[in-house]
Amino acid sequence: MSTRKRRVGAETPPFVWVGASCALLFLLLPLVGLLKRVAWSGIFGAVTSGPASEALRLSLITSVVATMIALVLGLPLAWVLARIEFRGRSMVRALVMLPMVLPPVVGGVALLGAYGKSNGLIGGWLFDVFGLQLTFSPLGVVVAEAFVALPFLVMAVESGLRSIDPRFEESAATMGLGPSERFRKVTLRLLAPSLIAGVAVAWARALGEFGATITFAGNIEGRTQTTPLAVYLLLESDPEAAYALSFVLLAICVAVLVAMRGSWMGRRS
Amino acid sequence: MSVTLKGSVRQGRLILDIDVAVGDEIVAISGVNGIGKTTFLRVLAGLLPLDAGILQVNGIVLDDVDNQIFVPAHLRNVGMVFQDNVLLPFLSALDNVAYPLMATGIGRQQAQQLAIDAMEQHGIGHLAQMKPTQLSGGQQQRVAITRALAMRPKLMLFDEPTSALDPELVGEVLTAMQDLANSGMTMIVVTHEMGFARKVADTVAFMDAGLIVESGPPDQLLDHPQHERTKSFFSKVL
Repeated sequence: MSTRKRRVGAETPPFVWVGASCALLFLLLPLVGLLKRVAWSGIFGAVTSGPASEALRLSLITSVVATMIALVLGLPLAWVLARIEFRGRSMVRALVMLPMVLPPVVGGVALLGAYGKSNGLIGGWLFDVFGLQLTFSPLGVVVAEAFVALPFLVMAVESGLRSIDPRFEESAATMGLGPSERFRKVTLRLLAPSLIAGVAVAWARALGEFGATITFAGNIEGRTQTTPLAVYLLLESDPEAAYALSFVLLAICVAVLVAMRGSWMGRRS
Repeated sequence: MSVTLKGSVRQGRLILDIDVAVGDEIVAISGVNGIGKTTFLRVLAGLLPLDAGILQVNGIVLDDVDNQIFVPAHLRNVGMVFQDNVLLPFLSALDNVAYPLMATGIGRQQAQQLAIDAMEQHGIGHLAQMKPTQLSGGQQQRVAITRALAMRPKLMLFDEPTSALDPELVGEVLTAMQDLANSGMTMIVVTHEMGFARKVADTVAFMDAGLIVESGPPDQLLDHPQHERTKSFFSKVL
């Protein structure tokens, strides 16, 4: 044993070890439980047939589309929040972040209030003019997912934009690059890690969306029943398929975490 | 070459109020931090519009508040070298020099050839394939200077290009700047390197609280300053 004393403040009180171990156990135990219940031999069949495969297909399509919407809408919004000073900016930011803390069910109810065909603010108009019905349609799933995913993307991109030293863009300006060239050649490239991280968390959030989706788009097999909804229902009728699907979602999320390790943690290559 | 600026700009609590004319010369600007030296360069570079007044370079109006004229930085052809974070981290030294050339419409191959020629001419050809993180601070500044020059600016601005460097790296950057001065480039250099100012500058200016308090030939300003503020500053830094 070393007799050298540690720096004051660097000693670890015993309760920290106990608490940290309990916390880890608390987080890991359900994952172990899930993995233990997965019927590995039949997993491929379970997720490629029947309602499970339908749900998976729908989830992948809607979550990718929702993420693209979040990206197209979120990047400009993040830019405004990060780069433009205006009165009430912190208010706007708080509003943008609201769906992150809002119970998803409330988000779904709010979406009904806006886009519901009979009672929504503009739902009736959307239907009359464009023939668009969002409720109980795959498009509604996309809207619900984009609604909850957008703030995650905005948050990641905004903090990324803030961390870029403006001198990179300024020196590009003094070397003759106009605003759009600076954006493409300098800003976007420096922003790439944050952008990737933002897309990854937004997509993971969209993929896992449950409350807003079931409230706003319903739970129609093959139409609006996404993987999380299917897991919930299959748990009764076909637990094996439910665990298999859960494992697929878990695997995707782990892959996302691994892929964005570094950029999300604030480390740079 | 002529630069005339008579105008003012507000930056937070500081009000920069400058009336100055620069000819074919090397101007060194000194003064305590936060009194407007960088702001002055940013106005010249087109990174900051004036709040009042007129800026002309070679008789061409670049900023005229009354007539609502403002030529932005990318159309001014004024080179600027910053204190740090000067190179794009994701590009090699060569591509850092080449990418602004490509933005002018030159093809990639030709831009890289021009870039390598420029780097060799400035004695840093061997650094071409390095990433900025592999370069010392002094080497990064030399690449940044080469890059700015590749755009053939008519005026070069330096914002404390050696202040963020370890002392042993200052020399190579100052040498590169001196070579540039000898080539006849008009330069405005914010610096605390008084040895460099004395040796290279035609004019030394002392700034305080947003104003140019005093300016003149190096020997006169550094050895016989007239103004109290100038005297007290140079008695501390020299």
